[in-house]
Amino acid sequence: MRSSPRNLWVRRHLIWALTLSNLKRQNKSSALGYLWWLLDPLLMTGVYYLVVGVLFHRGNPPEQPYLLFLLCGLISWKAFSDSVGQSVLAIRAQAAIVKAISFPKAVLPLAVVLSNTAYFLIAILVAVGLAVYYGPEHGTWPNLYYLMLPGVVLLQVLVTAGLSLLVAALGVLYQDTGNITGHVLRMWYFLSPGLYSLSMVPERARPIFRLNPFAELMTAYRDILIHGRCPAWEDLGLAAALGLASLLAGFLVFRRLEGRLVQRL
Amino acid sequence: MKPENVIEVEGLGMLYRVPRSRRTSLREALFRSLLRRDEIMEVWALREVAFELRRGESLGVVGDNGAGKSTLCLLLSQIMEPTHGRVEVAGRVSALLSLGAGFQADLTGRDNIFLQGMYLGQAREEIRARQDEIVEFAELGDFIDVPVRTYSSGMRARLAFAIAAAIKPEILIVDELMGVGDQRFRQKSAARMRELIAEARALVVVSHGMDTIRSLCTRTIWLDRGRLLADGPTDEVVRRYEARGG
Repeated sequence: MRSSPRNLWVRRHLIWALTLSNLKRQNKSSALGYLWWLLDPLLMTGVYYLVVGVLFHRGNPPEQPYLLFLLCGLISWKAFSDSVGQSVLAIRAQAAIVKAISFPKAVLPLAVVLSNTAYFLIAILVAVGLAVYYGPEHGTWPNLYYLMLPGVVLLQVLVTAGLSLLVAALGVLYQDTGNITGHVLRMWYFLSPGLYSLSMVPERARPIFRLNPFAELMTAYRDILIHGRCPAWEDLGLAAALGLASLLAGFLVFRRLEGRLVQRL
Repeated sequence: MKPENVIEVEGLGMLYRVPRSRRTSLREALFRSLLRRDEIMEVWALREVAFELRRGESLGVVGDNGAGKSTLCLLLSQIMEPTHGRVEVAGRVSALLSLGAGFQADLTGRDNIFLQGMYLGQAREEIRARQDEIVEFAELGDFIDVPVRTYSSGMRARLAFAIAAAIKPEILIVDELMGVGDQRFRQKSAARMRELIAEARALVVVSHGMDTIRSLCTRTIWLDRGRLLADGPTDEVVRRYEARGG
């Protein structure tokens, strides 16, 4: 059975159940369990803060608390790269059921995307907490623009879902998908304004950097959480266009390859 | 599709391309044109197979190992897609192919009932309505709320059969699955199977047991190395199959 919007909709409860089971599984197998939802983004940010901010005295854009600045970029990136990274093996890991029941295989990477989105939402709460801690001096008090956060997250989910579908199918067909994905993601992160801000990129190179949806997305999270201002609409429009393009391309490639997946497991 | 048919199969061909190294690496994909032919083994599991099944008929599939019987089941249940040809099936298909293969070991039996039902495209309410029946039939008692990891193989098989049997399929596809659990459960599952067959619109049975085929099927096809060798009344085809040389 091929993935189509219709038979994915029929299985929306399945996608949800798989999402929950991903979340449960990841937390049951560790001693600190759900605490990792908070610890992960904090520790990760701490490491970068130490290395880039404290040791190198670099990357501190004026008038911004660098810790919060880093956190905004990192949690957004982690949600994306974890989804894509885990999707490589999402279908292979369920080989037994794929070979026993006819169902649209796209439910597997989509559930990976959703469970990582759940982590992301928790991490955003951590960032909100930090923004409130810094107060209006360097962060924000909760304001109306917070209501735009789910919208920005949704744009990110579009980008993520497209890429995750792509690597999920390729991961079954080619065993080096995982290695390549790992390297591409690392390069991609350093080309995204995670450790620096877009304004620090040489002006001539900026239009190219902007073709990366994370240039817009990370800037948007920071606009809302650090500056308490509305993200630029043209940024959001560009991110939406890139997100839809990613989803469409990923879905079409997935559909094309889907028929070949079962016999390769 | 003709209205009196529930299954139509036409010009069916299934080619397995088996790389000698089990998975293809990107290097191989890029240089596939440079690969010598013998690095990918091509196997036609089915070739030019065609038949129709009418409402109310039950079809036996016989043939030696490697004849393509299991591949046919995978294609009829739409788990795989054919290389050539067309498979059309009218109605909800349930395939009893590999019992319990899809269980999530860390989830409880009850969670697995829901998960499997949802994979099959059923609504939560439908599954909820049937779960008591499944639990009772599988005879798992309190184990139903314990992770499947802890089950014995017999318990797994019982749960899997109970789930598969509960969905009341319109078309039932069975691949060599008569022996589930102990003697008593086997009788119980055989009885349930007969009920399912009575309710289903069509049945496809793959078996090496000629008695099973004779007792269940009105019509039988004989596959030999992927090709359809015979198609006709069960008695006739089974007699020819049993009289085959070698």
